[in-house]
Amino acid sequence: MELRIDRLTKQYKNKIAVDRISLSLGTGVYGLLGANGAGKTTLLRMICGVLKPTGGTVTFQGYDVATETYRSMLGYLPQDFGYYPNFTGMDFLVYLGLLKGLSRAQATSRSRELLALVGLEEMGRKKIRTYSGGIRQRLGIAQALLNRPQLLVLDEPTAGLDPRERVRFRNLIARMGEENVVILSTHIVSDVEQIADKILLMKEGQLIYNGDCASLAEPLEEFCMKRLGEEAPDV
Amino acid sequence: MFNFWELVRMEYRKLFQRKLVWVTAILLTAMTIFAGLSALLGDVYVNGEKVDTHANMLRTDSGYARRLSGELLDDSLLDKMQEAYGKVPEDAEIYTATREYQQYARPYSEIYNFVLRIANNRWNTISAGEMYDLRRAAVEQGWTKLLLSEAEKEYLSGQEEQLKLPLTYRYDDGYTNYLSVLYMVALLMMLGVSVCVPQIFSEEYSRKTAPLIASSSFGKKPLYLAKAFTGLTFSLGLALLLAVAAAASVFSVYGTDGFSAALQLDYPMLSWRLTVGKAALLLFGVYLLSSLLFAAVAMVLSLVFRGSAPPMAILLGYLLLTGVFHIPDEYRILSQIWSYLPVNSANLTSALSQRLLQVGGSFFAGWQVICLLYPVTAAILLLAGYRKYRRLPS
Repeated sequence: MELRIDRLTKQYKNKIAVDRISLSLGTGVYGLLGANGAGKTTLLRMICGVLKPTGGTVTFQGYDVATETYRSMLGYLPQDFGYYPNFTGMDFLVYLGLLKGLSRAQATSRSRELLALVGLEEMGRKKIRTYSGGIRQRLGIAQALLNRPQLLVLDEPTAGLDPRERVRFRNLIARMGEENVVILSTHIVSDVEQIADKILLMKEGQLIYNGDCASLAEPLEEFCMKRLGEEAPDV
Repeated sequence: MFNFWELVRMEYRKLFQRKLVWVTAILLTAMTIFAGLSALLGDVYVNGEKVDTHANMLRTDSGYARRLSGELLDDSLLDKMQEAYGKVPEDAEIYTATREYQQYARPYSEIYNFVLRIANNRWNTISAGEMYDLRRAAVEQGWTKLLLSEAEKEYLSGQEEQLKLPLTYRYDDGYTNYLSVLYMVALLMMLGVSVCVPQIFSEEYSRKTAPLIASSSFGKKPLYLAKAFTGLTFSLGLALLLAVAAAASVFSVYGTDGFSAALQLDYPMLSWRLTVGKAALLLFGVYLLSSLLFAAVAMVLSLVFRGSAPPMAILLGYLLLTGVFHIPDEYRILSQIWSYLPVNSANLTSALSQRLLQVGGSFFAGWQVICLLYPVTAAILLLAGYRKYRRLPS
C-alpha cells in the first residue's frame, strides 16, 4: 500500500503554496505539522483531489488522484467542513454514503455503525444545526470513514473534541493506521506524539523533515520549533 | 445508475427544507389564483352611484355571449347588432347606463366590440363582406409595418386563404383570459425560479460541502446530473402548479366554453388557422419550455458566481427589463429575437407573431422556433455548466 507524491506543486499568482514535495507513504499514521500558512491544507487538498496542482502527480496504489478508483479508497475530513443544517446527522452520512458509491441500504447501515463508533447514536436523529462544534467534528470524522478508506486524510480532526473524545479518536486512528495510510494534520502536537509513526514537517511550502517520531532526541514540540526557526514566546 | 434517484431525492429534500422555497411557492400560487378571480371583485359605479357588482356584470355578459355562441358572424348577425345599437340614444352621456343599451344593445356587445375593432366608425353601416375585406386589408398593412418579406407575405396569404369565413362566433372568455393571464403567470414562475433554483448549486459553496463532494468516489458528475435534474424538474413543477392554479381560477370564473373558437375572434390581425383553445395549448407549451430554459440559466449563473444572490439579481433585473423595455418593430431582427426570449414569448402576439423564420424554403412561426431553441439552448448551457462545475476548485 503506497501513496506516492511526486514533485507536487501549487503556485498562486505571487506565492508558491506547495513547492515540489515528493513523498512515498506506506501503511501507518503520518503527522503533518507546520506553522500557519506553511501549506499543509493546500497539500492535503491536492492529495484528496479537491485542488488541482500546478505540477506533479499524486497516486495511490498506482491510481492517479483524478480517478474514481483513487477516490473510492479515500476518506477526507477537511478543516472547517461543511454540512446541511436541516439534515439530521443520519441524513448527512447517508447522503455522503450515496456519493461515495454505497447503495441506500449500505449507506444507512454503515451510517448507524459509524454514529455508534463516534458516540452519536442519539444525536444522529437530530438536526445538525443543533450540534455543538465538537459533536459536528465527530460527525465529520464519521463521514470520512463511510467507505472504509485505505487512505485517510484528516485536517485538524481533533478541533473542538473534549478530552474523552480525543482519546477515543486517537485509538480509532491508531487502529486505522495498522492497515491503512493515515495523514493527520494538526496544530495539537500531543495528538501527533501519541499516535503518529512519522512526522512530516512543512515550512513555507516545503517539506523540511520526514522521519520517525520515536527517533527524535527531544520532545516533538521543541524539535518543531527549532526546525521552524521559532522561539518560544515569553509568558 | 450511481444512485441517481437517491441523489435527486436528497436534492429535493435540501430544497424543500428551505422555508424560502415554500413561502415563494405559496405566495406565487396565491397571487396567480387571485389574478384569475380578481375580475369578480368590486362594484361598478356610474356617476358615483353603484349600479352593479363586477361578478354580476360578468354573469350577465357571459350569459348574453353564450346565447350568441354558434351563430355565424355574417350580415344577419351584424344587422341584429346594428339595429340593437341603433336604439341607444346618440346624445346619452354614458350610453351603457341607458335603458336602451341594457335592454337591446348589451346582448350584442361582443359582436359590437369585434366589429368596432375592424370597422371603427363604420360599425353601424358596414356589411359582413366589407368587414372581412377591411380586416384583410388591415392584416396586410400590418405585414408591411412588421417589415415582412414578400416570401413571408405569400406564406401568410396562404394561411389567410385557409381561414373559414364568415367566422362563427363562440363565447371563449375563459381561453382569452387564460391567454392574457399566462403572461403574468410566466413572470411569476420565473420569479420563483430566480429565487429557488440558484441555491441548488450555490449551496455547496455557501455551506462549504464542496470539498466533501469533490473527494467522494463518484465525484462531481452524478451529483451534477442529479442537481441539474432537480433544478429542471422543480422549475417545471412550479410552472405546472402556477399554470393549473391560473386555469382553475380563470375557468371557474369564465367557464371552459369556446375551445374551438377561431383565433381571429379575439386576435383579428393574426392569420393563423388556429382555435383559441389550441393557441392556449401552444402558449402553455412555450411557457413550460421557458421554465426549463430559465432554470438552466439560473443554475449556470449560480455556478459562475458560486452564490445565489448574483444570479437572483441578474434574473430579476432581466424580468424587470422585459417589462419596461421594448424594441420598435423597425428593428426587425432585434425585435424578433427579443420576442423569442423567455417572458416575452409567453405573450401570444410574440409566440404567434406574423414574423417568421425562413430556413431554406420553409417558414417557422415564433412558437415553432421556440420549441427547438429553448431545449437546445438549455442543453448547451447545462453542458457548459458541467464543464465549469468540473473545473471549479472546491
